Amino acid sequence: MKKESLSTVALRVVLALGCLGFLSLLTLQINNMESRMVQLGIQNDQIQGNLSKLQLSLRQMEDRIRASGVEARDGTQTAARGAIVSLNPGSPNFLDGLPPEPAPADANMEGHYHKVYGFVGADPKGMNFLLENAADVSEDIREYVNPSLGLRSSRDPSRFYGVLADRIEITDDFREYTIYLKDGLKWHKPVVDYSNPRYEWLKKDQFVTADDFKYTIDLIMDPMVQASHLANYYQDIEYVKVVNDRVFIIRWKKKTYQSVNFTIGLWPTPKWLYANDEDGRAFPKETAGLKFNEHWYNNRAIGCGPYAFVRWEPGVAIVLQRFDEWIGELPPIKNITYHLIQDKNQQLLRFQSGVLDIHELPVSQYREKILDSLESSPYRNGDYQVNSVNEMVYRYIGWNMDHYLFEDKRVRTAMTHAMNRKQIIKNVLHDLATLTTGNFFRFSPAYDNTIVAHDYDLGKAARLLDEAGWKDTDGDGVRDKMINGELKRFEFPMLVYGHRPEIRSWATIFKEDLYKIGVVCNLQATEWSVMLKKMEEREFVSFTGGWGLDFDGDPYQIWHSSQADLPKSSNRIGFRNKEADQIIELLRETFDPEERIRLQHKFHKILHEEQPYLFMYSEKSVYVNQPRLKNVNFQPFRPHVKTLNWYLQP
Amino acid sequence: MKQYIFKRVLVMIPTLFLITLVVFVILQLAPGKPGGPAVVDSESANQTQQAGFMIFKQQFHLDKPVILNLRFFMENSISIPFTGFRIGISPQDVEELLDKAINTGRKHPTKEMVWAIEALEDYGNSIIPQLARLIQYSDNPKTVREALSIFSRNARLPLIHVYGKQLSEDQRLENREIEAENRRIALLVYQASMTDQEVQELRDKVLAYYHSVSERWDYSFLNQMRQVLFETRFAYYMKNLITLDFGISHVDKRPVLPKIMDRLGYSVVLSTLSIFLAYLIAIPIGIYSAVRPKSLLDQGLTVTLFMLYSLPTFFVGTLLLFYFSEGGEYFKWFPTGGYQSITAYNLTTLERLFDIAWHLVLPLICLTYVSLASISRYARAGLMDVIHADYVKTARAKGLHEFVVIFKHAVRNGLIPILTLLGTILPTVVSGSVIIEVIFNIPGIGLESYNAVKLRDYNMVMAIQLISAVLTLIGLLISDILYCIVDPRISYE
Repeated sequence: MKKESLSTVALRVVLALGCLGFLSLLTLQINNMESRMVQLGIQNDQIQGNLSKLQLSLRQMEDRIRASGVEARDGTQTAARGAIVSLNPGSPNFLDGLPPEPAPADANMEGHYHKVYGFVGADPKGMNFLLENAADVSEDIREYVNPSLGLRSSRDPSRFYGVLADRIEITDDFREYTIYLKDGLKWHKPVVDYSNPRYEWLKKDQFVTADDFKYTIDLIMDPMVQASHLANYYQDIEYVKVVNDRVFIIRWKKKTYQSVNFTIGLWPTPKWLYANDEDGRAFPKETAGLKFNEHWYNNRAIGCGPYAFVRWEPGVAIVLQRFDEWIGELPPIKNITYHLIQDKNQQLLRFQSGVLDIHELPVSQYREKILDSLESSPYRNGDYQVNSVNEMVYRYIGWNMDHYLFEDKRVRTAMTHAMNRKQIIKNVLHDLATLTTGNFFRFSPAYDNTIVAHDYDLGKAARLLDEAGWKDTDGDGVRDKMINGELKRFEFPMLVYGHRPEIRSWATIFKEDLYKIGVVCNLQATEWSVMLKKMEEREFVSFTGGWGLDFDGDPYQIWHSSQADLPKSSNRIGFRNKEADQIIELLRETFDPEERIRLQHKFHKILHEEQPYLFMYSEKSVYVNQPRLKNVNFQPFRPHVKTLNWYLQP
Repeated sequence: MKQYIFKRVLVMIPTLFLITLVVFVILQLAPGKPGGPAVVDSESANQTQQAGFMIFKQQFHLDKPVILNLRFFMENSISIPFTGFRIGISPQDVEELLDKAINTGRKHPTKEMVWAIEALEDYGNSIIPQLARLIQYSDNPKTVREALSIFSRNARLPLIHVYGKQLSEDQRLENREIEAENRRIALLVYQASMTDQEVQELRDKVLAYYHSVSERWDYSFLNQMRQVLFETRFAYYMKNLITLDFGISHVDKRPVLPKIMDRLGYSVVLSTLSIFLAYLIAIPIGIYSAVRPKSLLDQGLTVTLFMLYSLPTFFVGTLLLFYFSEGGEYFKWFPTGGYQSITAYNLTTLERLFDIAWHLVLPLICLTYVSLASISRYARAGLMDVIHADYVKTARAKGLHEFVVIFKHAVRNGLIPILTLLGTILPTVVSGSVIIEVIFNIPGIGLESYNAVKLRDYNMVMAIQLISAVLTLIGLLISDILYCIVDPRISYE
C-alpha cells in the first residue's frame, strides 16, 4: 500500500471537517427558517382565533340587542327569523323537551379536548354518516358534526327538543309529520385544498334546506346505496314532500310508534356535495347510488352542526373544531381530538401521561387501579375524578327453543336457577353491573321492578329438570331422557363470544355449576363472523350475547314470532308466543305513555315466565377524567359522553 | 450471469401465478364472508336488505364461483362424486333449490335453507332459462309460484360500474338501456297474496319477457368455455392484477394500494432501523464469540441472548412502557406511544426527526432484542468455520497482526451466510409487527392487515400477501446474486 504524506492527510481532515461544518451550518439555517415559518403559522392561527372570538362576541351582542327588542340593522332578516307560519294551526309543537343545561357563562371557550375514539379505537371505515354503521361514527361524531332534527332530552328522556328543527307538528293519527327547520343553518366548508382551482365550485356558502332531508331518505331507499341498515327503519315512509326551503312533510304508511324516533332522528345530507364528482360534475343518474358508495369525500365528514371536521390521520387521530357559525348554543370546548388507540393498556398510559382527558376503565383496569390500589393512588385520592354510568345494554344466554333440550320452559327456568348471577356480578364484574330479568333498559320505566329474579338454587334447578323428565337413568352422572325412542344425554355446546374476558369467566362458572346437577355444557369460544354464520343457519344450541338498547326499545325485531321463521333474522332462538305477539303489535300503535308502560310490564312478565333468554346483567362503565375537565355530566342514554356543555380549565 | 437472472425472473411469473391462486382460494374458503352493508362486527346487526346485498355482491363479483364457472343450462346436470361440484344446472336442480329455500311447512330456517337461498341469489341471471322452463312446463302450481317469486329478482341486470373511473359515453348509453330493462323487469314482481288468475297473467307476462331476450343464453361452445374459465372471481381478480390494479377495498370502497402505501412508511422505517441495529450489535458479538469461543464472556452473552430471545415481545413492551414511559410510574423518559407527537405538524424537519427518534426508542428495543440471538449465532458459526482454515493459519504465519487476520481474512469469508439471511429478511420489512404496533400504537401495516383479515377484506389481504410474496422472491434472487459477487468461486453459468 502507498503511504500518504502527513500533509495530505491533514488536508483531507481539514476539508472533511470544513464540509461537515458547512453542512451543519446549512442545516441550522434551514431549521431556523423553518421554525420561523412555523411561528408565523401559529401566529396566523392566533390572529384567526382572535378574529373568530371577535365575531363570536359580535354575535352575542347582536343576540342581546335582538332580545331587548331593538331592531337590528338588517331588520328584514331579523323579522323573518323564528317567525314560522304553521301549516296546521292549533297543533302543538312536538319538540317540547328541555335542552341540556348550557355551560356556565364564564366557561373557558378555548380548550382542546382529547379522548380515545370509540370502544375499539380502530379506524372507522369512512366518515360518510349514511354508509358508516359503527356506533362511534354514526352516533358520537355524527351528533357533533351533523346532528338530527331533534334529540331526546336528558332531563326528561320521554321528550325531545329541537336541534335542527324549530318545530314539529304531528297529525292525530301519528302518520304525518310537518317539520319546520331553524333559520340560517349553514353547511360547513368541505375540507379540501382551496388553492387548487379544481375546488373552486365548493367555495360558495351553502345553507341547509328541506331538500337535503329528502335527499337523505332517497339515498337510504336506493338499493344501490349501502345503507340498508337504515333502510329497515325508513321503509314504511309513504312520501316526503318539500313545502319550501324550511318546511317539509314526512308521511308514514301506517301508524307506528317507531316513526317518532326515526323521524326526529333524521339528518340532512348535502346534495350539492354528494351528487357531484370531484370536479363538480353531476354523476350519471343511473349509477349515482353506486358512485355515492365510493364518493371522493367519503374519508372526510361534513355536516351543519356545532363542530366541523378538520382532519383524519388514519391510525393516529380524528380532529374536530367548533363551528362558530352554528346557530345554536356554542359549546365551550374549541377542539376535539379522537385518538385512535386499540390497546386498552396504551389508552390507560396515555391517560396517565396527561394526554387524554378522559378514559373508560375496563373491568380489569377498574380492579387494578381502583379496587386494589393504595389510598394514595391518584385514582383514589381525588387527583382523577371517577364516574360510573349505566350502559344501555344487556347480556344474556340465548337458548335454541327449537332444539329438543330447550323446548321445555322448565328446563330453561332450571338453567336460570343454576346461574349464580349475584355472585358473578359481585366477584367477576366487581359490581359494575346490575342484574336484569327482562329485555327493556334496566333503568327505564318500561322495566318492571316488581319482578323478582329467580334465585341461585341448584336444588330447585335439579327438581325442575326431574319434572321435565331429565333424569340420570344409566348412572353415568349425566341426566338423560328417551326422545323418539332414543336415549339422549343432557349435553350441549355453548358458543361464547371470545372478545370479552369476563364473559368467558362467568361461562366457566356456569359450566361448573351445571356439572353439579348432571348437565354437561361444552364452551366454544368463537369469533363473531363464525358465530353469526352459525346463528343464521340455526346450527347452535345456546350462545352468549349482548344487545344494545334504545331508550324506548321496540321488541318486534327480536321477539315477534313472524321473525322466528325468517332466515337471518334477530329472533334467532325461535321465540313464538301469541300473547307476546299481540302486545308487540299493540305497542307499535300505542302512543299514550302510561298505557305503553302497562303493556311493556306485561311483556316483561311473559319473558320472565317463559325464560327464552337467561338474562344476565346490564353493565356499568367507569370513566376517569383529568380534574381540568369541568362540568362533567353523562347522558342517561347513548351516547353517554356528550361534551357540549363541558369545558376545560385553562 | 445476465442469462441466469433473466431465467430466474422468468420462473418468477408462473411461481407468482401459483402463489396468487393458492392464497386466493384459501382466502375464499375461510369461514365468514365480507360484510355487505349490514353484516357488521356488532351484536346489533339487522336483517340484510336483500336487493342491496345482491348489488354489493355483484359489484365485487362475490356472487360468482371461485375458479370454475359451471353454471350453464343442461337438461341433466352431472354431479362429480365426493366433491359436491356439479357440471351445469338443470331445471330439476333449480326446482330442488326452490323447494328447500321457500318451503313454508318447515318450523324454522335451517342450514340447508340458508344455503339454498344464497345459492339462488348467487346463481342470479344464469338460472333464468331454467326458471322460465319451470314456469312454462311445470304442472305443480307451487313450483310455478316459487319460480315466479324469484324470477324478477334474478332477472335484474347489473349496471356497468367501474370503481373510481368515469364511464364512457357508450357505457352510459348501455347503462340507460339496462336501467330501462330493469324497470320493465320490476313490473314482473310476484306477491304471495296473488290469486291463481293473477298468477296466470303474471306467468304469461314473464314468459313473454323471457322469450324476447332468450337468445342471451344461447351460447356457442366457445362462448361457453369462455364463461367457464373467465366468469369467475379468480379470473376477474387476475384481470385486474395483470394491470397492477389490486382492486378496491370492500370496506370503504377505496383503492387498496394507496391505503397500503399510507401505512407502509411507518413499518418500513421501524423494521429497517431494527434490522440495521440488530446487525450492528449482533455481528460484533458473533465475531467476539467466534474469536474467543467458550470464554466466560461468550458463554455469558449466549445465555443472555437466549434469555432475551425467549421473552415474548408483548411482555417486554408492556414492561418498558410501564417503567420508562411518561404514562408509567417510574422513569418518565420516553413518550407513551405513537410514531410522532400529535402536534408534529408544528415542528421543523429537524425537530420532527428528533421527535420520531425519541418515539421510536422503546419500540426499536422491542423489535431488535429478539433477533440478536439468531444473527449473532449465525455470525459466530460462519466465522468458526473459517477461523481454522488453512489460509487463516497462513495469514498468521506471515506474521500479520491478529486484528488484520480476523477482520481482513476471516470475517470477509465467514460472514457470507449472513448475507443470505439479509435477502430473506426483505419481506419482513413490509409485513410489520402486529404486536409492536398495537402495544405502541404505531399506525403500521401489520395492524392494518390484521384488521383486514378480521373484516374479510379480501382485496386488502391479497394485496399485502402478494407484495410480500414478490419481495420474498426478489429477496431470494438478491441474496443469490450477492453470493456470486462476494464469492467469485460461486457461479451460476
